[in-house]
Amino acid sequence: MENTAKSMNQPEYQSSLSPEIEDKGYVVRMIGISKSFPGTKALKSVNFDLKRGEVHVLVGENGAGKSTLIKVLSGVYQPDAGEIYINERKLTIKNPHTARSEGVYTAYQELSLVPQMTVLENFFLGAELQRGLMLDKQRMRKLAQSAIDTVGLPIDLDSYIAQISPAHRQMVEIARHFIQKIRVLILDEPTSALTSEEVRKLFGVIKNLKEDGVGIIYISHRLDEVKQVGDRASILRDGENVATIGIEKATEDYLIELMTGRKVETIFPTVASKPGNVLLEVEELSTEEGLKNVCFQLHAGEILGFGGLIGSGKENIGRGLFGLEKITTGNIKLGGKLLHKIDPSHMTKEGIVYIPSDRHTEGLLSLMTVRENITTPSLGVFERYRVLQKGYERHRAEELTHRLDVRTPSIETIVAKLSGGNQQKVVVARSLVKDTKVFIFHELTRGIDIGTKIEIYKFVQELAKQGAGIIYISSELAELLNLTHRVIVTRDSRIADVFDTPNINEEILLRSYFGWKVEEKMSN
Amino acid sequence: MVTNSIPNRQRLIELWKVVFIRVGALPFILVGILVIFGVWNPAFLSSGNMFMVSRSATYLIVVTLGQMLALLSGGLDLSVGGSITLISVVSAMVMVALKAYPGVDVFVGVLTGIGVGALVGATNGYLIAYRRIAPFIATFAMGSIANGVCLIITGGGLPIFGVPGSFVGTLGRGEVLGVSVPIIVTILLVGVMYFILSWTRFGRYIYALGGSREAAHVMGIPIRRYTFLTYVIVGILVGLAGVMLLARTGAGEVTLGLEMPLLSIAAAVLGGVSLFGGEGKLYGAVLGAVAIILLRVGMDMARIGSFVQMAAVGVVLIMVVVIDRYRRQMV
Repeated sequence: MENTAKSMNQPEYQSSLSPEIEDKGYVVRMIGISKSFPGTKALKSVNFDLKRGEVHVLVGENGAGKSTLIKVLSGVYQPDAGEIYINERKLTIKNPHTARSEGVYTAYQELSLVPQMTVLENFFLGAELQRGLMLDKQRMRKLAQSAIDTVGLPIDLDSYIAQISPAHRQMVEIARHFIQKIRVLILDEPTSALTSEEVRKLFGVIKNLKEDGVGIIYISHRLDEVKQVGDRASILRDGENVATIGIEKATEDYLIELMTGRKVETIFPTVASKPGNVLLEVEELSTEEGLKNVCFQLHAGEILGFGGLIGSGKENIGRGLFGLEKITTGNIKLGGKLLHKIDPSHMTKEGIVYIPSDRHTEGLLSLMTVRENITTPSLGVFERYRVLQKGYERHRAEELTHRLDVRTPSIETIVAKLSGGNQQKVVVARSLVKDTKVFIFHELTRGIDIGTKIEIYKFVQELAKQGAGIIYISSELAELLNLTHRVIVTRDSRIADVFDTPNINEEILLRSYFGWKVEEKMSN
Repeated sequence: MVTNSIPNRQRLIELWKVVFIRVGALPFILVGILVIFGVWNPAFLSSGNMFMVSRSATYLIVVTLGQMLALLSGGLDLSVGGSITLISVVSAMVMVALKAYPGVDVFVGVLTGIGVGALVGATNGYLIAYRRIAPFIATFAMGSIANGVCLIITGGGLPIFGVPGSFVGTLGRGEVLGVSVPIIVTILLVGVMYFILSWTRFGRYIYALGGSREAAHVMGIPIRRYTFLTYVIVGILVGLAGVMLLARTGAGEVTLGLEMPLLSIAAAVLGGVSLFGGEGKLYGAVLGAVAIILLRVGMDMARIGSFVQMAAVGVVLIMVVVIDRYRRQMV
């Protein structure tokens, strides 16, 4: 562990390393890469290298810095500090275009294909071949066909992306880079949508690319794959590269040890509340967006954590429960009473509040003032004969901004002008205007500074102590392990495991996320 | 002297900037219009003329109030023209048909007119809120339908004459304490609108809807119901404007609302209402409508032809929008 605070501004280069050739074989070397976003240090002086004809695997929890690192390499983000060498040439990768012209291609997990266009059109999007003023359709077709054949894709170049299966889309996303001169190929969770047969084909393609001398950065959560295709593995944790090891050393246990091992100091308050009676019962809840047969109970005064990998369904729990997804089957009972209409306005009336993970699109009315953001969901409280009592409204807004210590020039300030942490406090404040029985918090602390996080943790504890039921959906293991009474892990849109928090640690939780065997200490 | 004048000038520029950021371009344009046409033809500024201006501004103001609601909620209403035409024609027909019952004819006619407006609005609202049709398409189509129906029931666009004189004499040309009735009605409506926007949940929800539908949804606001309601109220306002116009012209005519969609949107935008929803002030929209009428009357008096006038309104609109964008960057 180096002095990371200092290295934010002045990366500590291994001064002995001259930019010149030490090992001719490196196609990428990243030295001392640091990157901060408001409130978080995503990368802290990370070193990373990639040899020609090698598969270098990146592993780490969500938010450990994997995607930030590859986005720096592919020119999406600019690093705050650090140097990048491609083919031992020092470069500033200003934008994705520079990266591509250097032969660095990324196949993203979230697909970057245009669904309304054909496979062929997507292949050459932004890089169309021309002959004179005309598109050289023949040549494009020939090149695309050979790329498709390389991958062994049984699809027509003229079919629309929207019509083909997600697995085929993923393969197209990868294959379309084969028409270029590739030096480095970055694959971000390439197999998440593929069948095992397609995975086998993909591995064949990777093998061919390796033989051609292409370096491949491979991000995956699946350890079996990691061992199958990887040559080396780097483990990221909290924005640091904790180790780069040969694949032969990468056992399951060792990887988990490296991925976890985070010290949780005095950030979290001690869990003080005692869960009481059952408050909310969810029975066999399924939604069109993918939730499958979810059953659980939430007690008064309980903080119930939800964890799982991205896309495992934990995102859908909050949205489904609040009626933001289309419910196909299932019941929700609040205090023993069956809720007939599950949509946001009825749930709000029943005293259930959902705080979305995306503050900017779903959380805030960014054109409106702090006061309006706090009071608008509960205007009924301020009405007398249908007329708003503005004095009372202002008074309540003042009171809540004080209670949550929202730092704002005034309650009439436009909310978009506040910092992220303060905006989030405003979002939380609005759920306190009237009595709320159940809080659904979705990534409550995303993108806010540690100081505000600590305040918010305390606050969540307080709510539970006062008898509210809290559903706490989080990607942060530390939050789940230190803030909750129980943790439910989702996998493949279902509930996979339920744990009593005191009985588990990061390892058990992570194993459950990945579906690796969980040996002991399971409850319920 | 020279050295001294520079800081002064800078201070003046600073002051001007602060004022400009606070009030925007519209007040300057209003003053500009008054000065230019006042110099051109001093009669422009006479009290008689100003009275005439305010009376003819009323109809546009009322429609603009509605248009503003639609814009604030994140939509727009292109059916106001066809709707006004249909309202005036149907209302006139009802009054003529009930001629035998003086008093009742006007009462029922006015109610029918407002009812037609509300119906068109409700249809718009239903299509937009519950059938998820884009406001542009839904209201454009409704406007076309209203115009078509109008032409059918009037046998190809013949004016409907024979509206009761008492109706024209009160709502059209009547005065109370020396103030023209349409002006009084408009002032009342602006008051009601102020109340709705500032003192009721409906007003707050309209801003929220236009600001971010997703956020409003997550907050538990019944977004469909309020979107629907918004267009119903727009319809009622348009209904009132249609009836007022009928009282002024004295005959149901198929050309009455022709320019209303463009002019009302222009007026609202001139007044600082955002085309993207969620932003805009009531007084801005009213001043915007006044500015457009002032511009037209001024050009009328300067004997500028209607073709040039059409172009001029467009030019002023673009000017204000460009200046406004500049202003936002300064904030």
